[in-house]
Amino acid sequence: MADQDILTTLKILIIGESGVGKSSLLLRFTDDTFDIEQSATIGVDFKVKTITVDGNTVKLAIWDTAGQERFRTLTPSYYRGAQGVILVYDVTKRNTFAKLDMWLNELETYSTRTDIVKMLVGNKIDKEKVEVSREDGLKFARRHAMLFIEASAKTRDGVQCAFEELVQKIVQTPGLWEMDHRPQGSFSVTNQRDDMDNYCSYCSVL
Amino acid sequence: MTHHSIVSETVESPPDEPEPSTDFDDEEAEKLPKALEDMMNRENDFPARAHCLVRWYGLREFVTICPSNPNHPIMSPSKAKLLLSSATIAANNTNCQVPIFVQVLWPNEKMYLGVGLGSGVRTDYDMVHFRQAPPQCTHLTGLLDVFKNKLQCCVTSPPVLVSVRFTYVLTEWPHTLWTQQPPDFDATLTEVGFSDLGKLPFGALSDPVSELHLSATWPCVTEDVLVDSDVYSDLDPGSAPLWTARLVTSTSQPCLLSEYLTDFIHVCRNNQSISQILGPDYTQDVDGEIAEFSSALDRLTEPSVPSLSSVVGRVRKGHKGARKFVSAQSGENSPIPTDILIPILNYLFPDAEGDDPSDPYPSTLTQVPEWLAPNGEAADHPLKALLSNMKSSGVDGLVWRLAVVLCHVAHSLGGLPAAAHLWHEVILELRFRWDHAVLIPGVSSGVPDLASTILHQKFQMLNCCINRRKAREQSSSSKSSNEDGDDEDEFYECDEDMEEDEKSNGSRSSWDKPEGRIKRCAKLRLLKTNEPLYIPFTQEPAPMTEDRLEEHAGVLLRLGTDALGSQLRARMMSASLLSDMESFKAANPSAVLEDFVRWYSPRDWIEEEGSDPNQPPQGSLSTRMQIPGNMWREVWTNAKPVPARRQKRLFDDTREAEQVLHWLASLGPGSLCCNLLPTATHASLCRLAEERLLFDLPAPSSLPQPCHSSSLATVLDVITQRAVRLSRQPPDTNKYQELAEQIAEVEVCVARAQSVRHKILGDAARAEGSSQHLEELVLRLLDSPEVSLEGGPRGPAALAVRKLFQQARKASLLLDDSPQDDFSLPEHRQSYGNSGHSGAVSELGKPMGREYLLRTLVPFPTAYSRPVPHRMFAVLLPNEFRLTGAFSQDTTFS
Ligand SMILES: Nc1nc2c(ncn2[C@@H]2O[C@H](COP(=O)(O)OP(=O)(O)OP(=O)(O)O)[C@@H](O)[C@H]2O)c(=O)[nH]1
Ligand SMILES: [Mg+2]
Repeated sequence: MADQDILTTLKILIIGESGVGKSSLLLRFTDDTFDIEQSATIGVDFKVKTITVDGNTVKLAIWDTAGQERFRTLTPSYYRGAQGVILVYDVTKRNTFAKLDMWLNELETYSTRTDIVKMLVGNKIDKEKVEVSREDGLKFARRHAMLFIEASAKTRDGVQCAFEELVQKIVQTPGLWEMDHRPQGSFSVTNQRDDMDNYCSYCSVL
Repeated sequence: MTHHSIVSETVESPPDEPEPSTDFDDEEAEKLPKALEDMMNRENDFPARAHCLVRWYGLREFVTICPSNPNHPIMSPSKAKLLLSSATIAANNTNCQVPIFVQVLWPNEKMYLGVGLGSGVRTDYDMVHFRQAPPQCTHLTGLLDVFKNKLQCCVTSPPVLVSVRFTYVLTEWPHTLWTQQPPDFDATLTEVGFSDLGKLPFGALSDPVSELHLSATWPCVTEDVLVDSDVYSDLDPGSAPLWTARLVTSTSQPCLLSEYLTDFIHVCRNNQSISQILGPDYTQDVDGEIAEFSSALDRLTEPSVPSLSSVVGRVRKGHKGARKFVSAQSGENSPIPTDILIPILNYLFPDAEGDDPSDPYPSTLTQVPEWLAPNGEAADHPLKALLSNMKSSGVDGLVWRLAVVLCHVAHSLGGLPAAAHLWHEVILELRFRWDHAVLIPGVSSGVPDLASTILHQKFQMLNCCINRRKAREQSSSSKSSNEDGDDEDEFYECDEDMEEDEKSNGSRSSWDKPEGRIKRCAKLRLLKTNEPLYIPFTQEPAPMTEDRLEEHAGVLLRLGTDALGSQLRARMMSASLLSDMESFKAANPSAVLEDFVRWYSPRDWIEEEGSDPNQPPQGSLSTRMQIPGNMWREVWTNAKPVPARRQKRLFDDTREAEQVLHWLASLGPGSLCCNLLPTATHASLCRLAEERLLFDLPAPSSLPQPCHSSSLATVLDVITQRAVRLSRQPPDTNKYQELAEQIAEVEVCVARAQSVRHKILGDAARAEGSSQHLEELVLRLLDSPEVSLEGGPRGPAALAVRKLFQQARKASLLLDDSPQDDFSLPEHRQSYGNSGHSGAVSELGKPMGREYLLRTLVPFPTAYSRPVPHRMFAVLLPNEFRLTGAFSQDTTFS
């Protein structure tokens, strides 16, 4: 893909408790593989991928963070400037779902923008013993104005979709990815002055 | 010569006024052109704001032909005639009923000749223009004669309708002087608290409301109702049925807040360094950086830190001594005199003043200042939601104060050199604080807040370094006082049972003696030895400012996206993992990786059910941890048992602090101010919001849609939104300049409103229950070009206006009495006085302008012609007289 065709580069974050499958989801999305040998992430890792959504080609720089508590002092520094976030929980582990509030808090504290687009992903739906129902996930997502999908990094269910919908939403959100080059919502003082002069110089009787 | 035309349709008719009805013409065989209807339509009399041709002829639609180059006006009458007759032919050929005007003579004379055709009626628009009115034209009787003379030939006494308007002008505002002066530092210096320093000024430098025009109108009466001749006039404004008022505001009014901001932005455009501006005396130790680094380590070990007192030369008692004098260079000829510099530095670093500083920093920094609702209760600041997203720094913190003070410096303390000087002093102060481990005040605590400006992050970073340094020096001093090497004291926070365990374990050889324990980790016991599992002291990860983080992320990015890149990244990031593992090993000498994982990443330990709590648990690591050669196993193998305090520091506070100081010192005053732009704007917006009046005001009509018709508060919101957006981008001075202009627009509006309020309401402006009527009047005066005063000359509004005129008269009479002040009356007033007209001298003084409008509908040019409209308008000003006539003739029956 030629560089000039790329609309913009977006920074996407993947966060969530350790072991929920963040790195696996990313690997599935970028390389379409599932690596059982994926080791626990240390600090942050990242991958890039170019995708086309609604005819717009965007480059994604996706930052995969470690979910381990101990890294939590380190990873939020990389939240900065992200336009989108994928928040992952493990449908077979209730406590990873219960921790979502904490992650949202973390996001609010450290991401430098408030209009960041959020996608909630319930991972590992290929597994038998499901502890978090689809409805619970959906309800949580609704309450926090997030997109929602259930997925499996192992079977590739929903993975592509999760990233595409997120990107679609970001591209549609004005002001999230462009620079302030158009004077939107502002007004020009000078033009109007000229106008006024035209009338003012004539207008008053005295 | 090219011609252009302006078509002004329904110029500025008040929105509620219906379009002139054309119904009454419908039965007539031939409809008169719209222009003629307009001429006779009394709705068009004395428009509030319109093109002069609208005013003079009552037209709503017309075409003007003007020279494209205003420097080459049409001076010769023949040329004007030629143009006019060409226009006539053109109008005839195209059946155009819109009157056409040709502008002649210099544009400022506003001389037009015009012609209108249509429905067999031709109207000639003509005018005369003198400096002085001919005597018979100074009163209604005379003007009526002129008008009737013109039409005399056909009807002896045509029924003439007359409208008259007298306008009184108030230019002097006794004892309501409405100007603001920038704070005078020399004057306030002696006063307590130096309070102006922390505030941005607000308001107009000169009165933004220059004149109040009061017009008394007698609309459309028959000529015999009014008597106004050279000997007698019953045109007393007090008897006029209609009173209207309008304000004349000075355009491009300079206002303090926006001027300060503009001067500040001006400094931003400079990219010189401090020493380039002030000379080599003011060189910071930027270039000695390498020496600085190498000596930095020595400094750690030296008991007395080498102070910069030789350079700084300040005297402090302990850390909180009084600032006696500042840097050696700050002599008599430095840009900011010492007696002004010291209070500024004390304002920025109040703790240096002693234990009871006059302007201490707030205990916590917030994005918006406190806000009290009108009832005095705490409420949300109106800009809170918007400003919470602003990348700035807390209200009244160090960065904020620096921005505000630099606004003062840029505007009134000497501009760029003064800014360079102050910044130089601030850097010295920061250097002093690092060297003496004194925290920087007015900065949010904790690690750099990435949602604040880079400058604030740098200050936070410096404080992190100072804190670390203090902690380090404290622990090393307590250690050296405890020569026996009994480090047990250090960890006195340990649980009681630790001691017992220690004892029960019997003697342990000194090399694997546990070190650096905080406390037990729940009830966990080590897998191999069944000893309690202890949480170790660990190093905190290195705090980073956003620029360093960006660099760091850049390095990570450059490693590429393949597996090898990921490996390298993990290795780079594993420093803190290694450090934690070493601390863990030191605290739990007989631990295995499984034990570490149970503490560090419990989810990767899969425990078998039903194991005995007093026995080491049975279980295994997760698959991903079991993979041979995975990073975790590798790091664990390499980790030596070393307690955190003996490890290589992950965060080298000395190095970091030097880097921050170097970064700060390499900022010239221009770049400094660029970094402060969001905060200076933030402070300005909060300053605007302090003017409560703002929230009652309409948006100025000078602002286009969609802001028009909304309130000034929405304008402020729009500006704030833009400021928030800009704060997240690299500073662009041009965009901030635009923002400053918009802020100026709001400031003028508020200043104007304050002025009007003050004038109309007087002292009542401050009283609680000030009259509702008058409040409304103030708003209407501000909002519309002309306001009719409810109740006419006897209404409450008129009363207030009257009072103003009376006060002005009283004041001018006083001046008249004093002999040395006889030139105090404005020139034009006297010349009007000399014009010899009897014009009613009322409580309002003499009218400044008088307008007479006469019109009639009579057959012309012969008695057998159709009755056609004629209109004559006279305006008498002190130095100007203009008589315009629109006389029609029936071209069919002539
Ligand atoms: N059955 C199943 N297992 C999965 C799925 N996704 C991930 N896993 C497994 O879950 C474990 C953790 O996956 P990771 O991708 O390393 O988890 P993570 O969220 O990146 O964990 P941290 O890096 O520690 O934050 C691995 O053993 C994966 O093989 C999935 O969709 N289905
Ligand atoms: Mg991972």
